Amino acid sequence: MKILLVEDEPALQEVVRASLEKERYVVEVADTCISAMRKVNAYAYDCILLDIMLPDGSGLQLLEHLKKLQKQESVIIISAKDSLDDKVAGLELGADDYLPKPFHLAELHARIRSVIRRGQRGGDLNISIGNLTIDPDKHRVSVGGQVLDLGRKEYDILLYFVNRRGHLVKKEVLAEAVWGDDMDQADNYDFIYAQLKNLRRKLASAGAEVEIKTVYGFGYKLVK
Amino acid sequence: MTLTTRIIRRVSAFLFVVLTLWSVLFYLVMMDEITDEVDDAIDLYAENVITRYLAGKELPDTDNGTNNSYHIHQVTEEYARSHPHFSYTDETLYIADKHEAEPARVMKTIFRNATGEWMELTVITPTIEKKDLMESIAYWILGLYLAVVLTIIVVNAWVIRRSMRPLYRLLGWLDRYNINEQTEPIDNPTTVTEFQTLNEAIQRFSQRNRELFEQQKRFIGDASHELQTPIAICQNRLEMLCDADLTEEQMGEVFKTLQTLEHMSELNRSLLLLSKIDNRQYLDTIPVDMASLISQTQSEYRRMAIERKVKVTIGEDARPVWTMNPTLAKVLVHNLYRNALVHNLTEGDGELHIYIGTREISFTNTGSPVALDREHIFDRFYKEGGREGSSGLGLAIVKAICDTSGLVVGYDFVEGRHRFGVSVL
Repeated sequence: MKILLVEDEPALQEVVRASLEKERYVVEVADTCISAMRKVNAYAYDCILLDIMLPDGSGLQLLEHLKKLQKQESVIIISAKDSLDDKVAGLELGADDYLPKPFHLAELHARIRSVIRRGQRGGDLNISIGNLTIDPDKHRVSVGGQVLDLGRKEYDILLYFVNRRGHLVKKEVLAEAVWGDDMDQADNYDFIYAQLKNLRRKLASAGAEVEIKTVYGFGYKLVK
Repeated sequence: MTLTTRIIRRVSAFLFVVLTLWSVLFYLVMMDEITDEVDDAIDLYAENVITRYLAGKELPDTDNGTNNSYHIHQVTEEYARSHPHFSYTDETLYIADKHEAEPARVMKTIFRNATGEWMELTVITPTIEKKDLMESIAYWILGLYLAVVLTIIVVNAWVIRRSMRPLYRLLGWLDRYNINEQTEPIDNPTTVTEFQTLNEAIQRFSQRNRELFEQQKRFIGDASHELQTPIAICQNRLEMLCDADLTEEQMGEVFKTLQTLEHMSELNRSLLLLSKIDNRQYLDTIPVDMASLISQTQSEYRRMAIERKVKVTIGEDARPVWTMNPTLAKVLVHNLYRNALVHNLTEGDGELHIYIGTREISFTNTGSPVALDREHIFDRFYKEGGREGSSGLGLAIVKAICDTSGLVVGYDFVEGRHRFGVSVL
């Protein structure tokens, strides 16, 4: 999988690149609009991560350029401009997703996975990790071919972790993602424990090769 | 008050004073002139009488009713010496024929006859009635005053309105001027130098204003961008650290730092929102159904209410539809809702009552038993008891939204409950 990272801030470039390479993506970097255009002219990418504010113009120009070339690359806009106008303009110009800065790396990986999967038309849409397979269209989970019966929240949690495999997911972030915005202020996380406990029990009894580990008191991590 | 009205009022007041003074002066001069004439006539008459008397000729009738009357009588020498030889006085005499008192001019003069006896001649002549004259003058002056004022009004209405036309055109342009939008250039042709200068000055200032506004907007956007990127870098580096194997203690430190970073980012975002509201960058308004917005917010915060054991009730008296910016309406309701939940009782049994009326929406919640500082509660960075993680901007944003949306927000502490009410102006 090849990813083009268009970002002018060297430090952010470096950390995102390192994180992507850890996920075994091939990463190419462009720090200006022009160099990004040259790269997309010459090569094909599975996903482009695009900063809007670039030294030589707006990243939206690259989107227009891609549209003109009729390229099918998935584009995720990464922008500090958390304004609705930019978001709408970006999505209208054909961006697949919009991630405001600052973002969690785990979130970035999940979004990349999601847009790449959507981009693979007609391919195998199932997500597999070890002997665990998820069919997102049918909301079906199976372990070693055997269907696992999960509640809706349990399924949401599992999908969330599978998309962020190997990364630490903070309790607050999990709560927010699965239950909505209001959870980050919640005083206790009893309801998360309960759902997670059920999910873990079901995974273990089905003999899944993945496990959701608790990382001290801070969060969870899905490991194979 | 329009300029025309103001000018008319001032001119009328000024004229009133001037004409009043003038009428008093006019009256005094007139009276003086009349008295002078009358005295001259009396003098002549008296001279005539004395001449005839001394010459022993026949004297005129002493009293012919309405006209001059006179009488001559002898006086003592002491009287003659102690009185002036000519004196004029105003007196009111009763005229028997007419059965009424009339003002008269009385002249007394003392002379000696051929035998050396002292004689006094008194001549009485009826004069004009001062009161009548005064009334007449006042009446005519009032008429003049009204005529002048009427003329001024008509002339003003016409002349001022005509000469001030460029001013009114300019005012109309200023009225349409919106710093956020491109307004047409000032089209106000005039040959008056003052108005030409005014046109140019306003054109220049509005241009400069808009440039500054644009710069400020750009600066705020850039500042936010410049801050969010380093925050993102810090956050991402720490997250990479979290994916490695750390000891619990190390992980704890990293987590605390991450939390602070998130708080910083949130603060940055809130400040950006606040500046945008203050800069009136949310201007497009649509009718917003407040009741449905509140019930939507309620479902979004349901979990949080349950977690915090806050019982939420809604009293719906009406289905208000307020015309405002939809984004701001959402932020307004969210911030008030969140505020009522976050600053509620921490041990459970908390309550939140939301009242929805046609022109008012209020959030009444249990919480700290002490009233908040009404003066400063809506200030930026005001924090009650320094609650950690609270940005101190939530209510400032509420205030800013109300200020730009024609709403008023108020705080009351009633029966141990905090009440935040938002109402239509």
